Amino acid sequence: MKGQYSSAIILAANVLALYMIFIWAPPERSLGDSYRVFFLHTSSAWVSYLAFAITFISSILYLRTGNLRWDLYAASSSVLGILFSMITLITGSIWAKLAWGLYWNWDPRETATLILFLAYFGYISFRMAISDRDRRARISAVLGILAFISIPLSYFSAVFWATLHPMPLLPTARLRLGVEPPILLTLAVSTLGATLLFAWMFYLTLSTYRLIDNVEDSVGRG
Amino acid sequence: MNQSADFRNIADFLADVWEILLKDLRLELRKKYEIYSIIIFALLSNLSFAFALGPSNPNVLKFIPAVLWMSILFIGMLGFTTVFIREMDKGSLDGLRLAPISPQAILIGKTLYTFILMSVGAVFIVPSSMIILNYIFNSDVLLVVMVLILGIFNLAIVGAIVSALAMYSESRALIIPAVSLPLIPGTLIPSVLATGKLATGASLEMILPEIQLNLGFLLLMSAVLWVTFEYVLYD
Repeated sequence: MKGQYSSAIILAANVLALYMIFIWAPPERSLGDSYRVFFLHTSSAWVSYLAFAITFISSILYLRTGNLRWDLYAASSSVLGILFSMITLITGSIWAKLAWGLYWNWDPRETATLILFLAYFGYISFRMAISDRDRRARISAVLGILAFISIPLSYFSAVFWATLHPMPLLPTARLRLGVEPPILLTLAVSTLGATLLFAWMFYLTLSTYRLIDNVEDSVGRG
Repeated sequence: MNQSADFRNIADFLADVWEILLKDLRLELRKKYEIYSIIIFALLSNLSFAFALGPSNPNVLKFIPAVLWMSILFIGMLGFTTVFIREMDKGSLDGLRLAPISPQAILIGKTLYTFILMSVGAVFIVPSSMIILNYIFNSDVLLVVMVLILGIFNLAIVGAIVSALAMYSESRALIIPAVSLPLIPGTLIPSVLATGKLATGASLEMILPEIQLNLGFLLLMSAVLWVTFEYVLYD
């Protein structure tokens, strides 16, 4: 019953967010309706960073406690982090095309997100290549920490690097969104909706991983 | 009293690092197959870039940083695979675990070994590229050497840890690029930028931000690995 209530709340929040993004929010002064992709981009970026931060914290907690629960948290959030960072990259490219005239501009945040996506893609591939559960948890936890701390370094490197490249092709006035209250409110609701959606998907992924572990245990015992 | 005990501990630690390094170097010098592969790779990569860029390319200085660091990176990839995976394959990993040596000393010894292996490659790549691609660095040679040493050492740290992680995976060497490449941009980008500036005659002040970034990478990676490497080595 409790689960049904939470599912209903998550569904309602996301339907409301979609309504506000595509219907309620007014067109932007310079970009018109095309700016609406910005809401999907920002909220998915926030969720992907949140997911990778959960993987990082869970990895530290696993190494400290040795409790496999933290390993499952790290694995589940990294899978979702990859999904949401992929959405971030796709919507970001669309946004960049509209605002700057190019799909890919080597903006430091864009580059850092791509590296983040690749780092955790490597993390997931690596997890799949180790069959022993305890060993996989321990070794992946170290990689989970290394992947996360390398992100600020990649970001600052990309900042230096980006200064060598021509960035906007369109007038800079088009880069700034008018921060009108309806736009801010829509952004807040879409971010909340995406976060709740992440929480629900996290629960489902975690349950799936637990089920896989139980099946592996049963097969091992049988 | 305490100070002399600390000094003895540090001396023991350094002696352990030296032993690990010496062991790997002896093993490599006995077989020499990695050194030979690295030298051949260095020459082949320069030739390939020369064919790709064409003879007497006027823009060669623009491409040099990318040419050098890509070759060094791929040499590293050749070397990374053997650092720890060799211990696992030959069954000597248990001996390493049981030896009265701290995991940090093992990591530093292995990093230094990787660094030497990559530096040997760089010693061939840099001069041969200057001859084959017909260019010279227009700045202080010491600065070029400093940028190369710092960048290669950072790559060696990543290589050593990635090899240690990959030895547990079933795909072994195949997983190394997937795991190491996302960790590398933090040091590769500043190294490429600094080398590019040095090729056109930059001074120390001009490459200071890149040096700082590389030093930051070195400190951060070292600090994290100092704490976590124990978990990688021991089951």
